[in-house]
Amino acid sequence: MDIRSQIAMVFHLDKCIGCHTCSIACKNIWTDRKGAEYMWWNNVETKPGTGYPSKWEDQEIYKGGWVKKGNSVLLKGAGKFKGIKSLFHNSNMPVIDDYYEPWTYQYENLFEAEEGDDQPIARPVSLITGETITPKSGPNWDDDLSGSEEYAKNDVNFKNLSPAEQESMFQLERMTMHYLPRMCNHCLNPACVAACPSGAIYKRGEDGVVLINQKKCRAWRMCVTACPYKKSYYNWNTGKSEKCILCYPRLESGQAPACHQSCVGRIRYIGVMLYDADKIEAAAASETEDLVDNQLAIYVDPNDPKVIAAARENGIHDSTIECAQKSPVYKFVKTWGLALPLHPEFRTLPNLFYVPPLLPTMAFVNEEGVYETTTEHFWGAIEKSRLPMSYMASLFSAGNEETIKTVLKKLMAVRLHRRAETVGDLPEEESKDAMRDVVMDKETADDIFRLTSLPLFDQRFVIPPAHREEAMEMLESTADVKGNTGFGFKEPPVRGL
Amino acid sequence: MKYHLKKSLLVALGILTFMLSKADEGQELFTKLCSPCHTVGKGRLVGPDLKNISDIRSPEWLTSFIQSSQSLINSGDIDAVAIYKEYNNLLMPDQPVDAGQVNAIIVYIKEAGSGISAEGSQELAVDLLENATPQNIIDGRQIFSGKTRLTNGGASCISCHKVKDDNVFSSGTLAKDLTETHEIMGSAGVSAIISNPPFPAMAVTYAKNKLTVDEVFNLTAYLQWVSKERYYQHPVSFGTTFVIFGIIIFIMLLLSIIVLYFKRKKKSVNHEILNRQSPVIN
Amino acid sequence: MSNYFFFIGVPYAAIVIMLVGTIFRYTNFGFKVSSLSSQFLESRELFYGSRPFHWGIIFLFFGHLVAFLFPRSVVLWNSVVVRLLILEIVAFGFGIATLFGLGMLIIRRLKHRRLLMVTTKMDAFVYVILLTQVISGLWVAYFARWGSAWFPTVLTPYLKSLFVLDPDIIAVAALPLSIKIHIVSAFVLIGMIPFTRFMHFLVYPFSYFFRPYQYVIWNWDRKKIRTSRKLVNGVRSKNN
Repeated sequence: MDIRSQIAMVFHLDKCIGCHTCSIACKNIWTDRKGAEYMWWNNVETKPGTGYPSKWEDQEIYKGGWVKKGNSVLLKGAGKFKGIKSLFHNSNMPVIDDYYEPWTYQYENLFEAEEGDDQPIARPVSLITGETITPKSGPNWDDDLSGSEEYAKNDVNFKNLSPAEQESMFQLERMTMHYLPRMCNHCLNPACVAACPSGAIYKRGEDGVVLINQKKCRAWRMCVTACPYKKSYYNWNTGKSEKCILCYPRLESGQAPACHQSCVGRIRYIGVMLYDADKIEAAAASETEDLVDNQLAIYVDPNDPKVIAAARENGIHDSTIECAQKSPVYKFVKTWGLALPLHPEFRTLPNLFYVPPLLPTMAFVNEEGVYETTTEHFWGAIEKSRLPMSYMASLFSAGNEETIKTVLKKLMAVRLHRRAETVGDLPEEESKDAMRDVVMDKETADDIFRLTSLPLFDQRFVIPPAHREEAMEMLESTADVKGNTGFGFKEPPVRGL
Repeated sequence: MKYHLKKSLLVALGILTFMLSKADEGQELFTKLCSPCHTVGKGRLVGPDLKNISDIRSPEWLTSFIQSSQSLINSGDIDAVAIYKEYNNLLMPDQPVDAGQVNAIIVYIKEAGSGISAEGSQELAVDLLENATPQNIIDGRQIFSGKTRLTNGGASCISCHKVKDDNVFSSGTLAKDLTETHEIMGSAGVSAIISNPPFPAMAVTYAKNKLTVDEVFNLTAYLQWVSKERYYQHPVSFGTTFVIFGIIIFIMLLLSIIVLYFKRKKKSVNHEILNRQSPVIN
Repeated sequence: MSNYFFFIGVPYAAIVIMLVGTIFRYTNFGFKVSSLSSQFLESRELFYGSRPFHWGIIFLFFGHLVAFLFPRSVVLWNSVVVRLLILEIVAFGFGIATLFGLGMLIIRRLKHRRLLMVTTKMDAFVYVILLTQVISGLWVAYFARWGSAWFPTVLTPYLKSLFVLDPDIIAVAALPLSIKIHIVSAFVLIGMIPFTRFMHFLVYPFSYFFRPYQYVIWNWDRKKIRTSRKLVNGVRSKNN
């Protein structure tokens, strides 16, 4: 048993209102620089949709992630042989047009234009070339199903649906959508780390944050290909790759990452998970239908004395173990089994879990073939839901529909229970049946309700002290670098020759 | 002789002369600079026999001729032009020596020449190759074209040289075309140059891999044959074939690259959306 | 004399500048050491430029290296005419591929405005020197045949003499101008390494082959320190 700690996250999709505040918070802090304008370390997509970059989920195009090979896994589009083979021209790398060409507007023209007969306008100009352009795509061009002919219909997760089923999904009465905020998953089996030829990308042992050493990055661009979530970005100006750093300067000082802190819908939870590093390879190489279960089995119970002893043996601080015991993530993922990883079939063992959305699955077809959304039959059967289960299964459980159904039933049971408690317009039997169906007692249901709807700030974000005061790094004399920005980066990030 | 050859000789010999010891300066200089082409009392090689040269020419004239025979000829010096004509318009390379060194050489030539009788000089005038058989010529060609390895492992002649011979194709073009060399230099000159090359690049090449006496003989015989037969030989130029084959290799390489990486992502996923016509705002 | 300058001065200057410059740049401006790929901005044409160019130039580089390190073996190989011809033709083919790729790269860079935005002045020098090098190389391959035959006997001794600090330029000085240009531009190229994106071939990721795929860094290996008997603080952290 090799116990390590990991900062993990849960996003409660039912609460996401698609406001993009998280994306903006992140952009303002980290990616508002030349070469990084197009990057959205955190972005919010509308599902169904092709996302950002377009069709990122289609690994037949981008060749990201791992594939199972015997008892182990191999990188699909990178690795020691394939990576070196495509060093001079990365065969499956996304290009700027797969994201979008960043632009701004000539606002100064509104003030400085010559006096004339027509109204001055602010024309869009490219942030790369400085030329006026006509934007034809953007980071959220398909927001709220706009242009669904182009985007939503090409969603890769529809691949298991028959054409007729797909067609029916776009009927007006049936149309549904939900939001999917995405960021770096800080995976347990990160493909970007494995793919980096220069060894610039690493996972921090203390908290599992995956970072790119900007000084070691040599722009071989393998991480961009290898990351199946396309969350490693190439800065075209500096010639270095960049990715989400989980706001580690904030994290180390006990603050939540900017995207978490700013979340309007309070959908985000962050906490420590203890896991057994010895099981990573086996879990990553398990059969597709077992992937979710085997990944969740890696995370160990922080209350188990054996685990605590092993964790201490590995140098995990008591305060971290304490945080792991209070972790909201552990509750959602392990205790209640409500949160699932996004696209586990990429086999990177992501540490960002999603509570699947219940709203798009609610309402059902009645006898007349009309979608019933009245409160009278508010809790339609999941099988008859608007959004096909196979779509949800493709997103969150590697195609295993049973897993996703169980989660949705649990969520529904909590709602039925709370409706019976607070409104009281449901027959008691209905809520009890639902609870019995998913083996959930009243206290658990109330706990879930409280952490979902009424959590305090400290309950959502349980961040362990970083104990940087104990880290070697702190032995560096801070007086030496007084007056510099931070303690590390001592030269301006200017493009090299 | 080509311009750069002369210039390089200048440099080369400059260094050499610097390193020579003063004591036997004349002999050293003669061996390094003159002996490949000249003898003292042993007859004509590439250039004239230098025995009694000091009696015929003044030291001043000799110095200027040795330093730059070309400028002397260009200046219209009658003697210099006559020598130039006599030796098939073959220029003597410029030698980086000063008047003192020329004197040292002259002194050495005098010493060396005093012991040799006039009759001795006639011996070498007889053609070296009078005993050459057709087999020698064939062997010479084998050596020239690299089909037979050199005993001491030097590079074959076609590495750099070219001759007009239907049976030798694919010859090198770095150095001189040797087709007419035998006619210009004669057997003695050719074999002297082969066995002790005065040209820097060639000297370096064979510095550690001297040719054997037999090889020198065979090559000289072969070059004589080439020189005689040159009007009947029409070898195909290999240059064009070389380029064509090179381009074929290039195309194969390009095709293999294209085939090997055929499954790459060829265009943007948003290709269609981005290339669609839109109302032009400009 | 110019030969001294070009064949002794330039090589030594280039090697010294390369060594001092790369070490200085790597240690002081590590952030700027990158291959500066522009594939992100333009990928389609890069394929036809970068691949033939890199394949060609790597083959040719190792060809020259082999002729330098194992001259006797190369002479032996060439002692059979057919082998000489195969070697020369293949090398010429790779040379054409390099020129083709380089041409594609230059055209591509001039054609796309996006790429001009990430082009520095030194990139222009890079293209000029590479073009000089490749064209003069092809010129030599064609007009001064057979390069593979005379390189090991004429140029190897020269290069060796440079390395043993006893430069002997007699033979080199006698070579045709095209070869001289090729030699001098090669050394200029070496001297330009620290000032250009050429830096990237010094950081070729060899270490990738020898490391496990996953890479985890601890700020402080508590386990190790707890079991340590020494009271010193250990080495300074380097990962900041």
